[in-house]
Amino acid sequence: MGAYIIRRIILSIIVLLLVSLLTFSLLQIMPGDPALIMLGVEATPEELAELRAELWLDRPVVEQYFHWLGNALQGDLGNSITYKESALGIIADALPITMHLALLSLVFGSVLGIGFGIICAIRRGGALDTFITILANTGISIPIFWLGILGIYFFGLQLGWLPIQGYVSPFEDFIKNTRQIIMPVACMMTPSIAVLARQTRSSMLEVINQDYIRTAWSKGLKERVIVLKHALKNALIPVVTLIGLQLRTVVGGTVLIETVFNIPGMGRLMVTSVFNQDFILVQATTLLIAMVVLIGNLIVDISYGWLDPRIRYD
Amino acid sequence: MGKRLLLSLIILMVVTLPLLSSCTETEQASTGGTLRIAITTEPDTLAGNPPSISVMYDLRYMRPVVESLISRDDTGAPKPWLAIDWDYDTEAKTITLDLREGVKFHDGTDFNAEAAKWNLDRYIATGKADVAYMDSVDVLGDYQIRINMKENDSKVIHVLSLYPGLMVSPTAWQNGGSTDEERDTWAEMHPVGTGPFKFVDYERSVKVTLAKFEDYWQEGKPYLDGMEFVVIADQFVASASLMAGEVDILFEPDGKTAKDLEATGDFVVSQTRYPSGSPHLNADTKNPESPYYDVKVRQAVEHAINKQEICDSIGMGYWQPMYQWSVEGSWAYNPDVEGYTFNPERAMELLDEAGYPADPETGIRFETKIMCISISPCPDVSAAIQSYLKDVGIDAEIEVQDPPKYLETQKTEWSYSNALNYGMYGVYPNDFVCHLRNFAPGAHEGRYPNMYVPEEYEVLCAEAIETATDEESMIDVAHRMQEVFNEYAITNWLYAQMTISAKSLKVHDDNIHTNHYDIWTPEDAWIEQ
Repeated sequence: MGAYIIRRIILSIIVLLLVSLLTFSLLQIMPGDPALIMLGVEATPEELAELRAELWLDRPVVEQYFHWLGNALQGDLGNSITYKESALGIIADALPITMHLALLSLVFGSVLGIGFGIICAIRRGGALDTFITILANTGISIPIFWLGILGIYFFGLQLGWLPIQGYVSPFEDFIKNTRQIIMPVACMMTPSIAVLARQTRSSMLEVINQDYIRTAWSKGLKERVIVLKHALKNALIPVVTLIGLQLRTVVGGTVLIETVFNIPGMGRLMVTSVFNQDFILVQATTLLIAMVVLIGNLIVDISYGWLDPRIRYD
Repeated sequence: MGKRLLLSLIILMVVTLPLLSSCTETEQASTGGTLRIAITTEPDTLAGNPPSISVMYDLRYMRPVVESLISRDDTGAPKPWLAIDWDYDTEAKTITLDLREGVKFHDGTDFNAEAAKWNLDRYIATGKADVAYMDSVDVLGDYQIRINMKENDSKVIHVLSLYPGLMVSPTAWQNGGSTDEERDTWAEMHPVGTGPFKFVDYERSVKVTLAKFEDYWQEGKPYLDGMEFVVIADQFVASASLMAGEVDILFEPDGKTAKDLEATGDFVVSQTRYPSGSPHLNADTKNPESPYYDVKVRQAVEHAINKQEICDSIGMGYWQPMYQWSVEGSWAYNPDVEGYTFNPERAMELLDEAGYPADPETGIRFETKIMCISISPCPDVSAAIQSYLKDVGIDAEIEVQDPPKYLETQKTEWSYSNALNYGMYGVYPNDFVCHLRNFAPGAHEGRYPNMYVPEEYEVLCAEAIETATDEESMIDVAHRMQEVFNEYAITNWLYAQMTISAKSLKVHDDNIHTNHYDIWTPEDAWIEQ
């Protein structure tokens, strides 16, 4: 197990390096002079040259990359062109907000998705199964930003039940924060619920038809015990894989949802950075998001061993 | 009978008294409350370090906090503010300013001649174009300073209503760090001015919070307890927030959103009297190979474009067509200059005269290109221009450029000899100053390197800068400039882009976007409780 974890960590580092290289390369081929963007058309040639030297823009691309990488390894991701502050500091403010939304979406989405899947499996063919399946198919198809706009219209404007936009820290005002995140979290977890419900239903049906389950029934065990204790654990193996995949979907979804609901998280920061041509922040946010997803996938992979003792990492 | 009459009189009084009281009742400002303004663009800085301000919306947001020596009245003319009087001596090349007494900065220190000199000295040291002719500042008394000029520059009085004239506390700046660089960086995001509101906090990408300044120099004001500028980048979310009452004002909604909000009857849309931007078409007019070298072609292009239609459709009625470099209402506007109004037939006549007849088969006279930035509404307006030019036989291809590429194109000498460049400049502090900043000798060569500016016009610009220091002479020279500019069609004006805001009916006397883009009256603003 230890060797497996170390191997995965090394692979993750390689993936991160590839992500950084790809992001760096894409930004290099973008048209325009970052120094000119920062200083504007009024800048003198001397001012432009000075800024280019300061940002290492006058060096070869390869040198620029390794300079940036060297600094990144020491925790220095550069200063944002837009905000003139440390990129790491800006991300440190935004990341907890995104993780708050993402984790809530993932947890609630997983619990509800698995729950609905179980219900569909044990009530297969019934009205409830049909209804949940239709909802799941709809949930997969609907774009979440459209769902967000719909939510704003109905729950914010028409009914006035929930705030339209904004985010206040839960430590500052828990009630206000809860009201503010209901719609964004609901939108973000909808695709997860849909996908996990369908997969759980499918996995459960497969497991329920196994001989050992039939034996459990014949021994007179209660349905709840059979489903939760014996069937669910084995049915969850493919579902856990999907939860891992949902992590990146949820994190990616923050880009849309944070923009719609005006939440100052990583997703909105990334959008703003792209529009502002702030290549330093774009690189930093891409790297951080990639890191978060890789760590999440690693945790998911390790959890297989707990779920299925037959699985050994050699 | 007597009792009936008395009863009737009593009933009459009961019915009419409320009506009488409402007729005589005047709207009195109520105190208290926080004005929440939704902004779609985050501030670059908070205007606490005037030499480093580069975008106008920073100043617009921070006007409640940082005030200037001079303000502007409804016509755009200079108006006393922290400076109550001034005298421009063109022979001595000096401007003497008398400063307002009894004004405090938010940190409790006094605004006086030393503070004013400190601020002006810092700005002069930047060497920026607006203050290029200012040499030094002398303190003549506790509340009197003298600006010594290298050369006369009539623009100076006007620009003292902008960044160069902003007054911030020297003491606060000094305490902001241990090096000048640190102090500048601190000051950028911590403005300490003399305005009716003091800076409280800035949550990046979230909001700027201001609180009432109790020692403001206008007694009894401000009426509000505070202000918040809430950053909401998305137009739909911002307008939804306004409709839900989460904010009171929405800065710069797009035209469609503004119309929709106005149609609800719950909001009023205000519009500046003067443009914030003046889009125009520039061409390679110095190059004899270019069709735009001929003034008749330039005149024809302007006759071909239906500016009113563009303003009504794309501008949603919030723009005004421009036929000279000022709009009606500005003191620089010359009512005798009609300009080149929409007249496709006249356009075709001019093109024939210029030697560009229409091809009998295709109807095309010549091909050209329109270069524009990718930011809305430039591509849409360019598409409209393309169709108008097509009607008179000019086949225009549109090249939409991303901002970085567009900036580079502006910065380098154009290699396109046959293109119309869709340009724009911000009109601050007013059309007169802005026009000189872009078209005066020494300015247009850098901004529009391929543009032909006749010597006659350059002489007028020089006169405007050097001698037109009083209102009468400024108006006179501005009007002559309009005539000459129009005669040579140096550039093709398109429309005046007015800035709009949508406000709740509960907000009063803020004057946001009623005259100027950047000047409003936060000290007078109040909200119905």
